[in-house]
Amino acid sequence: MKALRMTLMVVAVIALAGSAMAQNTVYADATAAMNGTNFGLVLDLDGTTSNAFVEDQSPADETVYRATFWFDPNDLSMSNADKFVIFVARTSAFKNVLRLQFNYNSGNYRVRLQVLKNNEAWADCRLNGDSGLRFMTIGNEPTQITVETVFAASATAYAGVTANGTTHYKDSYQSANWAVDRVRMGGPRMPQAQGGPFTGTVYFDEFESYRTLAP
Amino acid sequence: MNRKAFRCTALATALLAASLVSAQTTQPGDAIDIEVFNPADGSNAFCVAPSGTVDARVFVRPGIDTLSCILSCSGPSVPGGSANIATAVIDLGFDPAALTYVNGSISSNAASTAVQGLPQEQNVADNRIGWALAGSWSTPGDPSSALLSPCDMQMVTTADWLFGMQFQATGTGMTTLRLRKETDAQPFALSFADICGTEAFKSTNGGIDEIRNAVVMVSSDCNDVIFFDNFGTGDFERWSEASGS
Repeated sequence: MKALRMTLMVVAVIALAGSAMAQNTVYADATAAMNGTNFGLVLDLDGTTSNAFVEDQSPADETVYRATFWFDPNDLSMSNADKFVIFVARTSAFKNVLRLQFNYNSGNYRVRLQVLKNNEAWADCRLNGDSGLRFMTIGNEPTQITVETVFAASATAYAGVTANGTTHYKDSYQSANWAVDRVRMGGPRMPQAQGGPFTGTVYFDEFESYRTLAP
Repeated sequence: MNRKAFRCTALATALLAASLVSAQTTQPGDAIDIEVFNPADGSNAFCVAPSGTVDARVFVRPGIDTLSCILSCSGPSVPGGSANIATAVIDLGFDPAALTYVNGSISSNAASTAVQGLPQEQNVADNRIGWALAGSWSTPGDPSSALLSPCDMQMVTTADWLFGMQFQATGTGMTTLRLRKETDAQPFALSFADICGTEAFKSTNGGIDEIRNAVVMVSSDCNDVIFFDNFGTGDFERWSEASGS
């Protein structure tokens, strides 16, 4: 009996150690290479909720910011309406002000860009601005995604996401309180997710950012 | 000083230091480090306008071990080991869809003209440019002169750039200037050796412990670029921070 108890205790300790070590990870690997590159970034999701991302702190309170990157859902197993954020822009005070959600719905992978207004409510970028679809289907394949924003008074404020020649955008809102000071790319709960657990891998590659909108 | 101001100051200092001493990110150790870098700022990245040129250099930091040996041409012991590199073969791959090779050059540093290796251009058509060092020429810089004996030859003993290459941007997007090595799909025997006849220093035996490639982005928006990376260095060390790595 004592031996059994000891065995159970050892098993429990090993299990606890294993669960403590479990976490989502990011790493560079050739399997994630897209658009002719040699390597890409793998986001490896193991079903836990830990953050896994790379962060760029090069932005310096940018009021105009544009980022372009390649993304591949890589057949990630997701349930209907599951979603998590794969890209987020933050202020110097670490407030999230722009986030790109990755979603699965009725057999389609989709993305949605949301921008934070001065009143701290999130606004959706939509196919026709204030109306039209919020989510954009991207397909289960490498896709180049561009997100861009202008944090400003209502007359010039803008946020948009473009993929496969389609743009969803938002304008005419107050956002002059914000500026981009750092960005993160990864997932699955940085800073928000719904559903899960998420198990599998998605890929990122060829990230580039500018302090101008797309030409 | 606020965080951003401090960061800018630190960055400027780092860039200044890099430009002054070509001190790359690698640190001294027993093993040899090698990297492709941008002499303009010391980084492992280039942004170039379409049709513009990229001047890249290959930097080598010898190791610090103190091995010595006695050669037949010399009574006293001579220094060897990874701190005294006598021969080397380096090969760098590039993507011809993005870059066209223009020319190569060698370091003009008088303190290390032992480093009289030569650019190897015979494989340019296969999208490779190399550099090889097999000793010192009796007439410095003249490969038609004789090779000095192992006891007279100079060796690579200090961290410095060894050879440079100029490319013209002929495509768009991002590409990587990639140091080829033994574990590549198409392997190359990237290696260094001393004159003591010890085993060659390679990445597979720990003799080379850091190999850093460079990322090249061809863009008409270089003046407005903030950051870019294609993970072509095989990691994400160009990013400020990572979680879950």
